[in-house]
Amino acid sequence: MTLPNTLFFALTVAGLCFLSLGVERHAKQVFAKAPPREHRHARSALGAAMLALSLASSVQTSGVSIGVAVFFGTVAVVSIGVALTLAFRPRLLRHLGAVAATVALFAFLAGFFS
Amino acid sequence: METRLAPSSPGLPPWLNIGMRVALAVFGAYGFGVLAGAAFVRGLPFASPRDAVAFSLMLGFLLDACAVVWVFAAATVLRAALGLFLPALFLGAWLHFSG
Amino acid sequence: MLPPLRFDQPRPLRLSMAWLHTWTGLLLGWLLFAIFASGSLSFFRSEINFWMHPELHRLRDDARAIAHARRILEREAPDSRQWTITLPGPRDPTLFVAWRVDGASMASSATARAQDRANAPTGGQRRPAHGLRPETRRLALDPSTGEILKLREGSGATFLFRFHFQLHGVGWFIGRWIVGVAAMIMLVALVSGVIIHRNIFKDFFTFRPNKGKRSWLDAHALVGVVSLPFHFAITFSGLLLLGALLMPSVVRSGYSNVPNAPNFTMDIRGGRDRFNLAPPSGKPAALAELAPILDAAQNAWGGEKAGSVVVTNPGDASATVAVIQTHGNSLANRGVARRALFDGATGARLETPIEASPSAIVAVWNALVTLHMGRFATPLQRWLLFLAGVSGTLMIASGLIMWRVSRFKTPGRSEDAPFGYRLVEVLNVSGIAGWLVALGAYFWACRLLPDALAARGDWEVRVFFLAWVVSFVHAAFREHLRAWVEQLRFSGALIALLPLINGLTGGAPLFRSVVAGPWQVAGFDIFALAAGALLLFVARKVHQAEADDSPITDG
Repeated sequence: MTLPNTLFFALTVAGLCFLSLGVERHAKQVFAKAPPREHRHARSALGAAMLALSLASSVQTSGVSIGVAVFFGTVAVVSIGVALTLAFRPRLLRHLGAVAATVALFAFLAGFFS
Repeated sequence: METRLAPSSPGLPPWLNIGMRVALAVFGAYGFGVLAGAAFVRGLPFASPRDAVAFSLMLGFLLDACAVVWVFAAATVLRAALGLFLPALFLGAWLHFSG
Repeated sequence: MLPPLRFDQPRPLRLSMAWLHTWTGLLLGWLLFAIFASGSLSFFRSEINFWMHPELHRLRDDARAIAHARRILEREAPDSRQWTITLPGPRDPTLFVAWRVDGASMASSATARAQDRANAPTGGQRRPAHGLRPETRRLALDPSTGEILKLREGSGATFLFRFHFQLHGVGWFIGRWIVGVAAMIMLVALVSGVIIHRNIFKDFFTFRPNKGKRSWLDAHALVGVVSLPFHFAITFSGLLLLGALLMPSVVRSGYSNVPNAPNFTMDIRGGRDRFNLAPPSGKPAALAELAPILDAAQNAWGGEKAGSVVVTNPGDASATVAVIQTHGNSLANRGVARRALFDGATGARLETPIEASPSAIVAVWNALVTLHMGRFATPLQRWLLFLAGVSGTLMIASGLIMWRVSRFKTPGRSEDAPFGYRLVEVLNVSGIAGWLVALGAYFWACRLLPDALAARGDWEVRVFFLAWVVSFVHAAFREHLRAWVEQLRFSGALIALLPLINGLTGGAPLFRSVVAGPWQVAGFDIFALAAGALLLFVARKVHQAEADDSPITDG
C-alpha cells in the first residue's frame, strides 16, 4: 500500500478507535472497569484530532472533493469494523488505537525520506 | 373509540386524518416543491439558465422532502394544509409577478 | 402489538416521524433494496461485463495497443472526423476503438437496437445519434495483436445498470418515474430516520448481537449512520439525475426566455459545444505516430497512465490528439480527467485550453452527480463507493427484517397473522434473498446460455425475472424462516459456485487469475466466493434460530 494511503488509513483507524473509547459504554466493554471521565474526554479529543488529520491527509492526496468523499467512505467502513470488534472482541481495542497511531507516525516520517 | 377533538380540528376520524395527510404529502408536497422551484428559477437572479435550473431543482427536491415531514409533524390536518398553501400562495404570487 | 398512532391527537415529533419512517420503508423497501443492490453492482459495470465475456479473459496489454488501434482505425474509418481509442486499463484490458459517423440517417429506435445487437466485425457496434450527440461505431480489439474481436451477445452488467434507474419492462418513462418517486420517498425515510434517532453520536459504534429486535435496530442504525453522508448524497443526486423528468416545469421555466435553448441535461454536462469539432483545414497531412505522443503525455504526468486517446480530424493538417488520464481528479468539474493536447501532424505538445471553472451552483451539482456515477474513481475509490452502496442495501434490508421481527411474538408461526403482515414477510424473503437468487441465476445464465441462441440477452433477463417470480411463490408457500433458510442457501450456492462456472465455461480460472490476472476476473471470483460464503453463513444462523426459537428472530 502506498505511503499516503497508509498514513490516511492508519490515522482513520486510530481516530475512530480513540473516539469509540471516549464513549462510556464502549470504554467499559474494553477496559472491564470504567475509566475516569477525564480519560474518556482525552481519548475523544485525541480521536477527533486524528480524524481531522486524516481528513487533511486525504484532501492533500486527492484534492478537496474526492478527498472528502474518500474520507467519509473510509470512516464508514472502519467504523463498522470498530463496531463489530467492540461487539465480539472488545479487548482488541485496548491497544489498536495506539498501534494505528504509531503506524501513522512512521508513515508520516517515512514520507520525508521518499 | 371516540375521536378527541383538538382545538382547531373538525374532528376527523383517524383514517381520514391519515388519508388526507397522505394526499397532502403525495400531491401537495410535490406541487409545493415544483412551485418553489419554478418561483426560484424566475424570481432569483442567476448567471445563466443552467445555474437557475440546477439551483431550483436542488432546492425544489429539498423543500418537497421538508414539506412531507411537515405534513406529518403538524398538529392538525388544517395546520398541515395551511403550512403548504400559505407559502404556496406567496410563491405563486412571486412567480406570477416575476414573469 | 402497539396501538396505531393517532394523528388527530397531540403527539411528539418523534412518534410522527417513526410512523412516517416505518410506512415509507415498508411500502417501498423491497424496491429500494433492488435499486440499491443493482446500483452498487453498477459501480463495477465494466469489470462485471468483462467477467461475462470469457473470450476476452486471455487479453494482455503489452504496450503495442495504440499502434494496433491506429492501424485498425485507418483501415475502418479513414474519413471519420473523430477517433476515440480506449486503452486497456485497470477496469478492462480490452482495447476499444470508436469513431464518429457524421451524416448518418437517424434510424428508428427498433432498427437501431437490432443493429446494436448484431455485432458484425466490419461496421462495428453501432451507437445511434441522440440529439446533438453524433452516431458512433465501436470495435473491440485484442490489445497485443489488434485482432478484431467478436463479442458474444448478452445483457451483462448493463441490464443491472439500466434496471437501477429505469427498471425493466415498463418503458423508460414509467420506469424512471417509479424510481424517481422511490428516491423521493427514500429521502423522506432518511430525514425521518435521522429525526427519530436518539444519541446519534453516542450510539455511533453500538452493536449488541443476539438480542433480537435490539440487534436488528442496532445493525440498521449502524449501517445507516456510518455512511449517512453517502446515503444522502446518493439519494439526492439520484433525484437530480432524474430532475428534468420529475420536475419538467422547473426546467421549462428556466429556458423559456432563451432563444435556441439547449436541453438542460446537455447544458449541465458542459453544453452542446462538446460535440462541435474544429473544422478541418482541407490540407491533408499524415497523422504523426501515436505511441511517442502517448509516452510524452505519460511522462509529463509523472507516470500517471492514460485511459484514452481522442484524435480529431485525422489525416488533416489541423488534426489534434488529446491524451486523457484514466480517472478524474475532482468532482466539481464532473470528474473529467486531465488531458494533454498534441498537434496531430507534427506530434508537438499544444497548450491545453483552460476549461472555465464551473459556477458554485454547478460545482455542487457536479460533485453530487459525479459521486453517484463514479466515473472519476480509481479502483480503490470504486471499492469504497461499492461498499457505501452495499451499506445502504444492508440498511434497507435490516430495516425490513427488523419490522417483521418486532411485530411477531413467536418466530416462524405466522399463520394467524393479518394479511398485511404476511405480505411483508413474503416480500422480505423474495425481495432480499429472492433478489439474490435471481442475481445468481442471472449470472449463471449469462455464462451458460448457448452462444447461438437468438436474442440471448433477452433470455438472460428472462431468467432473472423468472427466478425472482419463483422465489416469490416459494416464499408465499413456505413457512417464513424455512423460506429464508432455503433461499439464502440457494442464492449462496449459486453465487459461490460462480468462479467454478467461470473456469468451466472458458474464463480465466481463479487459481490462474489471482497469479497472472486478469485482476478484474480474480476480483469478481473472490468476491463471489466471499459473498456466497456469507450468505451460507447467514442461512446457518437463521437455521439455528429456527431450530431453537432463539432471540435472533424474536420480538
